[in-house]
Amino acid sequence: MADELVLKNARELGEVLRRRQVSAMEVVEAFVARIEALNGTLNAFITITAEHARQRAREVDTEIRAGKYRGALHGIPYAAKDVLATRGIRTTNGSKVTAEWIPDHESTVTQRLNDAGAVLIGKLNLREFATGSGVLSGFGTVHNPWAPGYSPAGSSSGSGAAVAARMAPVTIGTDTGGSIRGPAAACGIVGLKPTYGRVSLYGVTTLSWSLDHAGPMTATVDDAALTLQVLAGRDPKDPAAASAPVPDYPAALREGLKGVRIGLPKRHFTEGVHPEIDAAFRRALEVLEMSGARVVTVDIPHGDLAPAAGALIAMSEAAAFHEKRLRDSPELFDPLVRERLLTARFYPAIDYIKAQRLRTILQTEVSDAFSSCDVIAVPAYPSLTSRLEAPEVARTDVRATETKGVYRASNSYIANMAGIPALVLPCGFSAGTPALPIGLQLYGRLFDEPMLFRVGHAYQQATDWHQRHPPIPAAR
Amino acid sequence: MEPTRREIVQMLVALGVIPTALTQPSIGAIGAGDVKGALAIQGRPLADDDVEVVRRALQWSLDRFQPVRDLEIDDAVVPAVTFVPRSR
Repeated sequence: MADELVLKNARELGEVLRRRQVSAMEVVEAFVARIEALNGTLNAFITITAEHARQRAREVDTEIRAGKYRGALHGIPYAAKDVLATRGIRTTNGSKVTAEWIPDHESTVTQRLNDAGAVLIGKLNLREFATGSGVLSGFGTVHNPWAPGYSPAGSSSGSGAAVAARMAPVTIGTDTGGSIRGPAAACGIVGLKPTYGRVSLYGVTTLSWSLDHAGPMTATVDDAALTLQVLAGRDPKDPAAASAPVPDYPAALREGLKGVRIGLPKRHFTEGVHPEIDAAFRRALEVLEMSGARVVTVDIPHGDLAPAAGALIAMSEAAAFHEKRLRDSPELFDPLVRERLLTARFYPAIDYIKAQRLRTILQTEVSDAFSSCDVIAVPAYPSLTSRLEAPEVARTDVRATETKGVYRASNSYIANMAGIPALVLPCGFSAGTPALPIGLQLYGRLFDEPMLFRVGHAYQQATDWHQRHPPIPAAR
Repeated sequence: MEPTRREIVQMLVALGVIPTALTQPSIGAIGAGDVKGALAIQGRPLADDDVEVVRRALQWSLDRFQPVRDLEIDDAVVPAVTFVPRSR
């Protein structure tokens, strides 16, 4: 029974809870048992809030028995990346610097999930302060559930691994340059970076004020839509939170792909991609075409500059945010995070402004591209996830063998730079051993998350990648 | 649309007309003295070990950023982040 419950997605769990075929307590116990069985192997959770979750489950069961059903997430366990403040519950930021911080306030994201009846079951591991490699982070590295010893990507590493390993049906990640979408791709799950300002960042530890986002990570596009429905909306506590109306996201899932135009960038985003990823990506486009969509060519001429400019903006802002902490306790930082923050102190202001001006150019180019398409499709990541780095390698960004040229970490930064929403979903696996997940990434127009859900859900209706689960690794 | 100078250079590199090395920055490498000089301007000390860490990482970061520095941007393009006056 417990194994069956953890394999259900949030929509399915919500249905059996609503019909009282299972209690919230049974659901919580199933996921707590799963976490306790696997966390020794994966290190996805920093804090397991089992007793808190049991208390909440009792309240949920009382409410549902009384006919007070709050909606699709009522009684659904969730876990949050440990940069989201949770009142009275330790929030570490994945760092020894803030290892014992117990916030006196609640992030808007977790507050909205709690108000919807969702049940917090734990706080998730991450790359320190949402940056770095993770290997030397304060609470150790997370392992990829598909291949322990391999990277789950980051910085929302625990959020990705927890959903893939069915330790939680819904997790929350944050994304400054791909930190939701990288782990989603590496772990074979769904990750949504919403439009900038669509989800409040109140109570989320800052990495970069102008690039940060928070969003859902789930097993299915349907679950991502259900979760965004709860998270989205204006928030007086966050001046950057958008006041745009919140549409009915799950309703978009009912629309097909007839007439939808999929933009395929003619350069940059599809160049230098691993052959197996390229093949999976092309097959995904074929599936979308067979489902009624039409592929058209688009261009974002300066898209290749987004990662270099985005990284400079992100780390400049991060260095400003962490200035005092870095001055007071530099020895407590992950060496790579410390290197990045120290180095960013030397970036000329004129470079920061130039990067922000490039951002304006990118916004215009992306907007122009959307004049001829409804979504843009790219490989989520150009390379397969790799083995976890050795500690001596993870200490620095500087690689002796690295060649000069345009920096290309991923296809993610463009969405943070332009503020557009982006959805990653699984579209295949590599052929070798271990078989590693491959992700498809869809960019949408500003505030057009419904179109992303529509296309992503149609793809998942035609494929079964999202229904595959990693073999359960033995606890170490 | 007319190709930009950057696109022309990229095309010439791809055709082998000019070597990639000629498109790389011509300024000298960053030395420890440069970092220490900048520290004096910042008014913040740094241990010698950290100076070397910063020197290597700064060189790496700015090399990576060089294509953005090389970009010619029209005067009409404003930064994406602008001041928005508002009261609480």
